[in-house]
Amino acid sequence: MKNSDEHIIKISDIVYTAAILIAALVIFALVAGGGKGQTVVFKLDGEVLAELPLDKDATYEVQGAYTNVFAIEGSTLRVTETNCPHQECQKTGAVSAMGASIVCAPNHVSATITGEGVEIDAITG
Amino acid sequence: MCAAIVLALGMAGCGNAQEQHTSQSFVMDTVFDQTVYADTVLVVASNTQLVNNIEALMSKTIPTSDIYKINHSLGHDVSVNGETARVIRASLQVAEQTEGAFNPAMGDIMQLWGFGTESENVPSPERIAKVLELSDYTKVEVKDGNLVNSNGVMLDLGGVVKGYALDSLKDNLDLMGAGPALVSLGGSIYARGTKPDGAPWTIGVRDPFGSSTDYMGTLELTDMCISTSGSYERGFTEGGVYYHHIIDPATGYPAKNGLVSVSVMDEGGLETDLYSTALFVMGAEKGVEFAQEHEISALFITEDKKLYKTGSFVDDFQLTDEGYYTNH
Repeated sequence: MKNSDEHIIKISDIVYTAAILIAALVIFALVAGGGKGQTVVFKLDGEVLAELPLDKDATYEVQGAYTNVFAIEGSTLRVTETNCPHQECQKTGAVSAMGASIVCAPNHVSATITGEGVEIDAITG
Repeated sequence: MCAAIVLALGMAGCGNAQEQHTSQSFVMDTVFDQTVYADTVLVVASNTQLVNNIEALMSKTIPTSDIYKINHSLGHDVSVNGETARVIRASLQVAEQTEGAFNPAMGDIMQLWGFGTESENVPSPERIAKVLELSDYTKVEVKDGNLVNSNGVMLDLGGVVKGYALDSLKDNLDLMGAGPALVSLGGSIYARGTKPDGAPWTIGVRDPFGSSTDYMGTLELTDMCISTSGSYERGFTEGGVYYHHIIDPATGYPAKNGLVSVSVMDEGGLETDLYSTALFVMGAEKGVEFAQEHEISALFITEDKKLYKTGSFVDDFQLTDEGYYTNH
């Protein structure tokens, strides 16, 4: 019997895709609307993956070419584990300020703390 | 249907005011962040493409780049893109002006140290002395018709491409009729216009003694560029000693003069990148003198937290961290 499973888009795929799109639209609306409260926005290749509140302890793992494991703990954000070449992201340590971000360049990943009241627009350094 | 929703939402904001478009991408081994107010979302993609094009021309590792071809040309003339020729010419001019403190011919030395690669290591004094002889920027010729002959010297434009990209981005934003914008390429920043609410773009200067998101002072920039050379980036530790990546062309070793960072602001992005490197290599005393003489606005930070300011930094820089001592 011919196996035709590989070409079937399952219902769960559609639901999952729709959920991600809706989440993306919600995030877009939040960011465009100025956002409320401090949240961490995780991006891979510039695309938003997730948005988590800074005041709720959690871990979040990003799989790109490498793996970064982020921890939100006590309203701070840091990388607890990574297999990227220089671990610069992990060496950044914990950040908590509005507008602060942790970047893993080899993995094309960034995690930024956003919300109201960003004092500065960018850092030169 | 989902695509239609996304499209509809994307277009929902298209009223009279220019819309804010943001983007983050990775190019030139670093983060490229953009916030642009424009009539079309195409601006950010255009900017990203532009920076990628510059990297394609001036990277020393991409085999099809102008710089790679020059570096492997065995003393022959190489025909390059007009932009490449312009950047090399500007680099050579500043090299001469700074008596080699900025040197675009450091390809061999940088390769020897291997910063940012798996082969980063502290070379022997003998090997350093040998490659030092190969870093003579006076051997580089830029001839009419965009022909470049490096005469065996290896170019490395790492200390200038980001600043140059800022100038190109400014031109592109002008061309596309963009409004206010803030673009940041690995810490080299162009602040265009003022934010729609009338507030100026506020830039933080990284605290050399903190993390990459700590800042020790701020500047309000309007239609200006700023770049920073700092010893805290792209260095490595060997045998318990930290070696930063800003090599003094005179010694072949990381510049050791008590400075931890130098920031330069100017309308020209290329200038900010060239001079932040050159002034770092010169050190505070010579650097301050040079900056004042040539009317360069610069901020010098020393390893014992002293600040020296020239030009616009004197009045415009707001210190936010009390742990620093301002001289004069």
